[in-house]
Amino acid sequence: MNTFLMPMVTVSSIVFVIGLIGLVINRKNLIVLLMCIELMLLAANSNFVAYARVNHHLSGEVMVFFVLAIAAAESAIGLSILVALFRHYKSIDARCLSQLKG
Amino acid sequence: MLELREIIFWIFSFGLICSALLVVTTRRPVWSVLALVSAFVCAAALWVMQGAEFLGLALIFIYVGAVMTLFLFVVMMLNQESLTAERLRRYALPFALGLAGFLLFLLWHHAWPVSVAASLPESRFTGTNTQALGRMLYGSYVFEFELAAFILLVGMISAIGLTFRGKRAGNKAVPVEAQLNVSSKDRLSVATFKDAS
Repeated sequence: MNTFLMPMVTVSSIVFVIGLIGLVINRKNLIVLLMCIELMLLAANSNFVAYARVNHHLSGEVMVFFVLAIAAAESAIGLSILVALFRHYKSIDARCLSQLKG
Repeated sequence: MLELREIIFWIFSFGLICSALLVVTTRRPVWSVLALVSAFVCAAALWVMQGAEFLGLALIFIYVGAVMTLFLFVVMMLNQESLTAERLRRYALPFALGLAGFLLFLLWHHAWPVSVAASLPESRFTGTNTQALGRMLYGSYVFEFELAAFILLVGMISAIGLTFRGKRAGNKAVPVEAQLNVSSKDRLSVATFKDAS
């Protein structure tokens, strides 16, 4: 039975790397940084799904479920931090956040 | 000769990679959010093809329905129209490409043929995918399930706490404390009338 393991792993690693490159090249806009993190989580979840299929074991899918729950909480908190920052600095440029720099 | 399944798989993979690229490269945050929605839909189709029907639908319902709507609201609220083209630092792109090459190298040379199924809690593919997932969630993983629920509660409380700024002036909501401190004397006065006759 064709399980698409290697194509799936390849596609998800490509998506993970795209998210990583996005983290490096979009260093200014905090919203895009959050979206790149979501992309990387999506790629990791795709790997979990593919390996759960190959191993005939549902633990990988349960792990995806938990990752989805935690990622939802993470994006809610991240977006609310973003709104609070925007109220304070009138901008979401990541370079404004240099108060802790010595 | 390609099978139909393979054709569908490659169409959705192509869509996933293209929309991921669009998320990263576009300068407009709204387009970026919409491209991320498209990436999630393509990934959900891939997951359903891998037999994870419940998770694919949950991805669409939770992510496209709730989380991406939240992203869209925030993007529209902050009103960041197209950003000015940012100047990259000189080492950013080589660093990113080098990291990408290193990760892809690791992935290609360590295609782990690992079977960890023996060391994990028991599970069998009985019934539909949703039934099996539900049995595992409420069986072997019930403590982790409650922990995830607690973390979601903490996330909700912190999101409200971070963005709530108290009542605005002119708010017409009912003041609960004034309502609770009221006594019967304030509301009811007994009028006495002199006998007119």
